[in-house]
Amino acid sequence: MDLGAVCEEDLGRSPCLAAGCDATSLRLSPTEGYLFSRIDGQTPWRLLREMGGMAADDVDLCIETWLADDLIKLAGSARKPRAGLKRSRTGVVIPGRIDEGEIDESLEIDVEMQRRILDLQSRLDAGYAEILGVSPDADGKAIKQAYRALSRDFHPDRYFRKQIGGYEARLETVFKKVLEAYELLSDPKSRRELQKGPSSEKQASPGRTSSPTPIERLRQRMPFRISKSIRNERRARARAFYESARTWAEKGHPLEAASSIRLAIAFDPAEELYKTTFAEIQAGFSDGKVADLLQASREWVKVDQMEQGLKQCEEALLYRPHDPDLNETAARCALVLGEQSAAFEYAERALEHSPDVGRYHRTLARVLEESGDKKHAICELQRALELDGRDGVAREMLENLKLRRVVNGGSE
Amino acid sequence: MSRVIGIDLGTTNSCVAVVDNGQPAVIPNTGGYKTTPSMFAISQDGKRLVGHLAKRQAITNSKGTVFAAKRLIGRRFDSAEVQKSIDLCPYEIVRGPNDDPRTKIGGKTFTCPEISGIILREMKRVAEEYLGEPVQEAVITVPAHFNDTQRQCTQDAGKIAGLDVLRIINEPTAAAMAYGLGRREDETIIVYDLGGGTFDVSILELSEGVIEVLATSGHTFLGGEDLDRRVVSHLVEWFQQDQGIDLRTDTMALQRLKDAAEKAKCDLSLRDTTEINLPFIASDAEGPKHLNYTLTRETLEERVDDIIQGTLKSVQQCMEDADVKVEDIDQVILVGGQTRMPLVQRVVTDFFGQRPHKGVNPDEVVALGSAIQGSNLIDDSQGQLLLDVTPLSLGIGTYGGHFARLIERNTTVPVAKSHVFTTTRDNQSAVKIRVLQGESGTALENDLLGEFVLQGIRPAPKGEPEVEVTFDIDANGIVSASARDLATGQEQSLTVNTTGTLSEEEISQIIEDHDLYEVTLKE
Repeated sequence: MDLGAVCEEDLGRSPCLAAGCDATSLRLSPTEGYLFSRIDGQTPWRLLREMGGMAADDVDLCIETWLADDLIKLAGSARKPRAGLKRSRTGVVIPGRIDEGEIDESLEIDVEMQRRILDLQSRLDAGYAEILGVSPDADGKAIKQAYRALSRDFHPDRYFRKQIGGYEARLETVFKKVLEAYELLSDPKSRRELQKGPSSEKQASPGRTSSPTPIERLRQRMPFRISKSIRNERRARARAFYESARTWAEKGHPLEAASSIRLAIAFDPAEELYKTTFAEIQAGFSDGKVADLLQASREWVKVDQMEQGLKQCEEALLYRPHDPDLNETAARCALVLGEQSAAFEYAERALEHSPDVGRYHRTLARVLEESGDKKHAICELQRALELDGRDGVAREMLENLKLRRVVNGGSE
Repeated sequence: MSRVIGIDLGTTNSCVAVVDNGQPAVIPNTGGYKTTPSMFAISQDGKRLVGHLAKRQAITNSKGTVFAAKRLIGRRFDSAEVQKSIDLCPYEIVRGPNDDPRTKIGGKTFTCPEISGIILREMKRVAEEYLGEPVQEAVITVPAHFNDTQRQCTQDAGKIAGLDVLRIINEPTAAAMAYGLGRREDETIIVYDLGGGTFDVSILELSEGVIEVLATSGHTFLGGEDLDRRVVSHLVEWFQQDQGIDLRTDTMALQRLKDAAEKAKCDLSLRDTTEINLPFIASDAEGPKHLNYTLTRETLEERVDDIIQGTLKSVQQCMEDADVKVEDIDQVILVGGQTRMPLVQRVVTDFFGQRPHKGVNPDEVVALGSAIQGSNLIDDSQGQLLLDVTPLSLGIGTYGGHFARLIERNTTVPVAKSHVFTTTRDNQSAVKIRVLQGESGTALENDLLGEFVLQGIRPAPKGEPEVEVTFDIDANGIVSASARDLATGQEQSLTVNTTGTLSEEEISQIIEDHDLYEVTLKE
């Protein structure tokens, strides 16, 4: 959340409880409850940020939410509720927080329940304790109780074979996350780990499970604060590896270049230059490899070793599945080997990406002719000749085909 | 709205229940029995018999009578359990086209889901006759540690029986639901379920409106039938000493012995001694031989003590997994007919330092619980919510034949977990994701649920690419797996729902066959 969104004047103002606000009806965690109890109409927002017992942006989020819920008021403020604010800190679902367009009264699930599911789903990345609605220092018993209570409401079996549309998938997602939160928080070991890496809990994104992305893992591996001198040293080393990578690349040793640049990235993951260089080297590497494979394949084809030719082609296709040249060569090999459906697929794929090359149309025509579809073969040959009028082979094939058609037609 | 029935599909006996006016009740069959033998037979004159009718003729028609098919369902033909059954069963077990065990009786081959389906159809019929209305929907129970394939096969069996299976639930969980009905206080309970063919133990926590399974453990191939077999071999040994005749080669004699052993075992739960009289069991040059033997409870207990003590290992495992101690347990619930045995009750009482709960009928409680769960699922009036767990760990096979767990056993479902894996060769362009289920650290020793390939990984030195593998189990227990190349965003996924040994076409073919048969019956 962007801190700048709260204007200076508002930070100087003191929020107070709205008339008729019943704090006891709110489902607040102890931390939130503490913050709520500090709201007395005397303490300015800025001060609440410091004494609220949580990070400043979390304090802001709570206050924003409560303001939006009309639980508290900011005297004299001209502010409007911030758009897009959907996260509920209070656990009470207030219409307007969630996308009401998702509510469908025709489903076999309570509208209120639909709101609760959408609300919980929108808060899935808010941290495990919050998903369960417990304070970060809650004991095992409280965690278990919260988990059971949520299970009772959100277990997919509650709506077994009911017509609940998209809520079926939502329930699964929500329940799995609740379960994950319970498992991680109820095990002292994983809970300690969660507390050690303060940001790692927040990073758990919705729909994903305990496994972090590579970047997250990299961050976890790296200490969060590296002293300046160490950082400079690391940068220098990264630079050295980068230089050597360039040298290797120039000398035409892509493998060595790639491993050097990888080390450079490891020492200075923030430097974009290294990453783009790595991508270039990798692309160059696969280009070289593909060229080699294609060359080898053509050699095999020349000596009529179609099986070997196809093998090389298919390996090259793993690197560049859409390369028309590769696909065409593969098609020709497959055709000779009698694998017509494969040949057809390759020939089609070659044309998919370069429909204006006569040669590819000729190859497809060959495949079609082989499979007995003369009509379409003729069409393809005509197209090939349209694109390249000097293609003698295609002309000859076309004439042969037409001739045979006439002969066949006559004999029938 | 038609009512949902709950079926306890047991190894030896099955039981069906329904919730009536908020109260679950077991439905007796036309003979007045509350349980029906899980037996299917084709008589010598080609008639198909189920339940008591099948059991009654089992002695004279041991080759044409299938029992304990539950021990075979969802297993591979080469598995140790199936091979053991082949040694023990008088009926023929053959290898099916999918490497599944099939039974061959009356000149016809039946798949295991088909046999179970026939029994489920019988239970459906029992319910329909009693309720006087057609029944469609059912909840069926399975042993807690049944793997995904075994569950799928049971689901297929339900389809074959013409049932819409709302959910497959675990037997001890069902028992706990029946126990927990109407209780208000928070409790931690353990369910000790020793049935005819399987042993399960589960620890659950009951609190207002929620039943949460903490852990579950057990043994798929341990139960009352093993005790019967111990008695049979005791009798065979004695007879050989006494008369010098080996009864092991005589299938009819074995079937008579098995029957008598079961009766004697049940008898000894009430008495100290019992008489076993089997006239004309064999004959030699001197004429017919009769078996007359007095079995004492002491001998029986001596013979089976190791089996019963062995169950405690699973109990300890389960308590470890649930992280509870003996003193945390408020109630011990005994489920399964075998727990009537005084030895079992003694061993359990000694272990927990408290007498087991007396309020539930060990034969009926599972069916009652499954009916409760069925009615909870479709009823709006918000009954108990069941938080069930996945019984076996799920993971993938990794380099060197290891097994990497993504979802640990005893994790509450629905759940999704992911983990990042990498390549093992330089410039590796594809990875194969093999979805496995089991507890062994070696991939080969676990069950393969399915596999798929993620291609198009950008060439890089080994260990560089990052492939995120995500496993997902939905509320119905359906497992799906996906793999994503974090660099390219390319993704491949697999829904594991085709692991049953039967395809959709095969199932509809079987249903058709049986419908034909139903028609011929009425003629």
